[in-house]
Amino acid sequence: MAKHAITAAEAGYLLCHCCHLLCRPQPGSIHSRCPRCGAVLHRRKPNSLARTWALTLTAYILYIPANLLPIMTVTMSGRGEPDTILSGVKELIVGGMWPLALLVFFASITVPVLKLLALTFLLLSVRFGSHWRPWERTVLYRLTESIGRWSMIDVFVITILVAVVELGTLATIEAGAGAVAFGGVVVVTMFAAMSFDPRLIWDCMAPKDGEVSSHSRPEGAYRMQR
Amino acid sequence: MNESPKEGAGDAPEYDAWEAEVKSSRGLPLVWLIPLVALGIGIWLAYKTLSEEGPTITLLFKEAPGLEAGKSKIKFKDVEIGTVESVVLNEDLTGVVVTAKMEKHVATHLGENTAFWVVKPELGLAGVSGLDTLMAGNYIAVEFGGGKVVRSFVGLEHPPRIKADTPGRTFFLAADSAGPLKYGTPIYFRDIQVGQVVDVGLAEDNQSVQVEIFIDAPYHRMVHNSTRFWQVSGIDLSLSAQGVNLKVGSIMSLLQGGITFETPTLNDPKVQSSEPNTHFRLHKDFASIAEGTYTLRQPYLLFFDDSVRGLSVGAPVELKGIRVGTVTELKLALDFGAHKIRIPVVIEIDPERLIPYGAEEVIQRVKEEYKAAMESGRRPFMEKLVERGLRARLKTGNLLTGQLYVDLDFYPESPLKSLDYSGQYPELPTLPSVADELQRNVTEIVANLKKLPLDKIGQELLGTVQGSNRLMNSPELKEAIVSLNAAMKDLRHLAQTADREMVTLSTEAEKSLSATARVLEQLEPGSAMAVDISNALEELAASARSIRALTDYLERHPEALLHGKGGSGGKP
Repeated sequence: MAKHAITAAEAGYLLCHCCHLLCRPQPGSIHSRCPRCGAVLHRRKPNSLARTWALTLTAYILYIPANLLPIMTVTMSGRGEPDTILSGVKELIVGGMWPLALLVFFASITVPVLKLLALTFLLLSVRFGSHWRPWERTVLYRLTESIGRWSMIDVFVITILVAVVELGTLATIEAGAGAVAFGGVVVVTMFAAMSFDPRLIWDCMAPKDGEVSSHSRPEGAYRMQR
Repeated sequence: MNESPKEGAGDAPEYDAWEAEVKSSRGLPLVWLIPLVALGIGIWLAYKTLSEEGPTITLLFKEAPGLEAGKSKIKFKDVEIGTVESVVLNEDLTGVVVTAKMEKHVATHLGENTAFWVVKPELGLAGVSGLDTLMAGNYIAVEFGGGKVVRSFVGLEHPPRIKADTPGRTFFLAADSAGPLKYGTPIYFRDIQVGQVVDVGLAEDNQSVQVEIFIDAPYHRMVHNSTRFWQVSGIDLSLSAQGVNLKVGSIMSLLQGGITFETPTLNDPKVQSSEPNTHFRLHKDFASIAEGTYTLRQPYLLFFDDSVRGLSVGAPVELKGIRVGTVTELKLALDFGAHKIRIPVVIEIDPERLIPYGAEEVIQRVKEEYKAAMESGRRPFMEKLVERGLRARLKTGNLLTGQLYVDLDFYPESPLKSLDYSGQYPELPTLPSVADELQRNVTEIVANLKKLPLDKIGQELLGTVQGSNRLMNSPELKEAIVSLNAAMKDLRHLAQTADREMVTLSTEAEKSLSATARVLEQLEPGSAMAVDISNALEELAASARSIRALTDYLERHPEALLHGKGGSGGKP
């Protein structure tokens, strides 16, 4: 049946990040280099857990001012108040712009929060050597990494608006400190996701006697792709 | 399964290397600096926000037009110093509670006298204000005041009277009625606006209106204690003996009225300008200044039995033609005791109009003398005047309108009366009005006329007329006229005859006159006749002398008549 697949690490090899060359590490040296492209070789992403933790925490910390500080101030004909993300969403809802409100809410609040929660969950599961659904967790990780950049939409929109809407007294838009914090959250979260090594999810699934299927993916979840 | 072609790749057990690499825990990884920095920044931001957090205040407004939670600003001198956080109704729905977050640096200035009011666009006769709020929305303006620092305030309905730091002075004016005066009514000095009304309300005694005004610096120095304030109405139409007098002020004053003042002692260096909060009287118009400068007023009661039609409240009370007071009340009273209707009229006399006249020490002495009586509420001087015959009576002031006025004058021949203190006010004795008397006299005359035997007189007159008529038409009279005619003819004839005779007569007279002239010519000196005459006269004189000698001789010797003249041997 299913033959136990061993990882490169288990086989005593290192995979080069850059050119994906399978190398054998040099004994005694702390940092071996890829003989082909010269990249530093790591068995796993170095300090993955610590870095991810640190960055995730940073994101959590930054997330507070990002929501409390005004993200931008729209001044139209002399009237205007700084808006935080939530008050902006509220404004949009009051203004009857439901789709836009939903979009902003999704991109600025749901996505970052979900990402942070997902990362936290992954970190905790790895930390406690959980065997619970490694495959789904990997999917979650992939999702987290791919969705990350979309959170930048907000920051992006703000920067464009600030640059474009300069009508003097009629209307001006200024970015607030919240935008900086929010951008920080997005960037730091992306780095956090990058520094997490999903292989760690599988590392704790060390082969135990008779446990085979636990490694295997769910039926039909994966198709051979050429 | 690509084997590394590297030569250096030995067969050494890899696990040592792995151990060394994986378990290389070098204390705290540097990556933890990132959250630490973030935390630091976060903490600093939090601290900054919290330390800059200003006080939250609550304002109670009657209404909060156009205030929006989270949007409306609180401004001081057009600088934002706070934001409205919530606008809610208070529990009993009588007002609006506005919660606002103020900036920290104003926290210590929020004394209990701080004023908050909503600035909204206002379109008034005096112009438009608050236009900027049309674009930016209404805001709450602040005027900081001193006092204990508090956190809840009662908002004002209109801007506070005067900005606290405006240089100038506040004065109070007492007026009879507010008229068009309201907050913002301009105050003019020589048609320059120098201030405004800041408050209009009832005075404490509820008897008059108190107007608080503010005169901007440097014009407040123009206000002395002698300053007189009066209201400017737009149109001043007065009808007087000189004719119609129409004055129209500026359009502004026409629309919103105003107050103007003048200071007679303006250029007197000795006179100080008034202290702040001095009270002045506000006159209705310039003309009423003269009668309004008197603050002491004494009410008197007058009872008139005759009609007071034409007498109105405000009618003048005059003493010998000079105004001394005003009619303040007219009523109709039932006198149950005497079963008749009386008309009590209350007048106010300004004693200050009566200037003391006489030597200073006499005035002092009299004042001393009357002091006790005055303090007991009596009016001794008026008593004396009434004893001397002071009476009030109604007179017609204007024949056109039939306006009456109360005239005080002395009628020493009227029955003696005294000032009556029994009523609410001292009662001055009255006399029936002139018109009334006139009417009475006319009635009397008519009555007397009625008594005359007019019909009898008429009959007799008729008889006389008839008799004379008969005489006129009688034939005797005709005859008499005829004979008179004849006599007249004879007379004329006689006159003509005399005429003719007169001609001859006059020629005769001429002749005799010329003869006389000739005689006189002959008598001229040097003519023969004249010589003759003089000679004759001399002869006559000589004979007269001889006669005198003779008579003298005869007086001495009367016997000569008998004996003749004696000779030389006359007597034996």
